Amino acid sequence: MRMLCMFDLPVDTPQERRQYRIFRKELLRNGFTMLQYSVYYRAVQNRAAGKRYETAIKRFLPVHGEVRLFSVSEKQFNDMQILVGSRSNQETIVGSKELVII
Amino acid sequence: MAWRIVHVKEGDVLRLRLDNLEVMKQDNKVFIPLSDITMVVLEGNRTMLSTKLMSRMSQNNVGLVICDDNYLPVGIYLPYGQYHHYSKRAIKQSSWSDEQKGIIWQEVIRQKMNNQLTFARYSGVASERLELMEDLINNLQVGDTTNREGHVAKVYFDSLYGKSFTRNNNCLINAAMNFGYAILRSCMARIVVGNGLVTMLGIFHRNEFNSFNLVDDLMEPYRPLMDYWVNENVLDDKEYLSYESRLKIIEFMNQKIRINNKRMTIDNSMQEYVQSFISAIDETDSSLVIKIDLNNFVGEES
Repeated sequence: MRMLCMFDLPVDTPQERRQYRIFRKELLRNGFTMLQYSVYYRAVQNRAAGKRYETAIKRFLPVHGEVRLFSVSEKQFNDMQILVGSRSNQETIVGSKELVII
Repeated sequence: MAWRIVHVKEGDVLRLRLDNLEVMKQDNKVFIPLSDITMVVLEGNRTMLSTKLMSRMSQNNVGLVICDDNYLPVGIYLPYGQYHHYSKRAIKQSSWSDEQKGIIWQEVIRQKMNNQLTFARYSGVASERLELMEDLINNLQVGDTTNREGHVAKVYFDSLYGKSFTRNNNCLINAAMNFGYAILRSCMARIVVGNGLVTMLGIFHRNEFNSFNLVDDLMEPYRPLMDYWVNENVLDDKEYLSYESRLKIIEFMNQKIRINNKRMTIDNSMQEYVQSFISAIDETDSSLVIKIDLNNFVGEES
C-alpha cells in the first residue's frame, strides 16, 4: 500500500518559508519520497502501519496552505499511467520491494 | 514493524540522510527509510559508510552483515543496549537454572529434528532411514543428554546427500548451506539483541570462543527450513554459489510461514518465536514455545 501526501504551501513570508522547509524535511525523515514537486509517497505494509505515519504527519503540519493525505493499494499505484516522462531510479530500485538490491 | 532487506552489491558510499539510508553508486542516489529496514547485507570491497549512519542503524535495530571476498558473511554489527529493560533481562538470563535450560532446549531441538525428518520424508528418503530418525527423536531426553541431535543429523545428511558427504566438503551444497545459515544467524542475532538477551549465554551451546551461543541455540529449528529452501531454489547444475543464488537465499527471510494459523514472514516469525522462548523459559513451560514447522512453510511461499 502507498500513502500519498500532497501539499500546496504559501512561501510569501519568512515564517511561511520556514514552516514549508520544516514540513518537507519531516516528510523525508518519515520515509516519504518525492514523486513530483509537492507530491510525496511512502510504501507501508498495511493500514495499521500507515496510521502511524498519519499521526506523525499531524504533528508537524504547517498553519497555512493545504495538505492532503490518502492511500492507494499497491496495484492501483502501479497501474498509474505515466503519460509524459518515466519512472525514476528510486521508484524502480526501491519501490515497495522487500528485498532491495543495489 | 520493519520489513525490508537491503543488499548492496557494489555501493560507493552509504550514509544517513534525514533518517534514510542513502546509497550512492556512481552518480545515482537511492534512499530507503531506516525504519523499514531489518537488515543490510554488504558485499564488495570499496563501500564506505559513515559512523552517523551506523549509530542510527543501531537505534533502529537494523542488523548489518559484512561479506568477505568469497561473498560469505564474516561479520555482524549489532545494536547495543537499545532494549529498555536490558540489565533486568540479562540478570534474569544469567540465573536460568540448568533445569529450565534443559527443558526448553529439549523442545527447541525436537522442533529441529522433526523438521529434519519432514524434509527427509519430503525428499523421498527410504522409509527405514525415516523410522531410524523417528526412533532417535522419540528417545530425546531433557537437555538432550544423549546427543540425539548429533545422531539424527548424521542420518539426515547421509540419507540426503550420500554417505561420503560431510559438512566440511568443499561443494555447492555446503557453500549454499553455510551462506544460508550465516544469514539465519545474523537475523536471529539481531532479534535476540532486540529483545535484550545476551548472545553469549546459551541454553545448550557453551563454547567459550563463541559470542553467539544463544543465537546458535535458537536458530536450530530454522535450519531444516533453510535446507529445504536451498534444495528447492539454489541447487542446480552450477558448481559455485552464484550471485543470483545468494540473493535467492537472502529472499528466504521474506518468505511466508504459518504460525498459530497466522501467515507471517520468516523474519517476523523469528520475532514471535524469540518472545515465546522468553516466556517459556521464564515460566519453565516448554509448551509456550511457538511451533516452527516445516509443513507450515512448504506451499506457503508467494
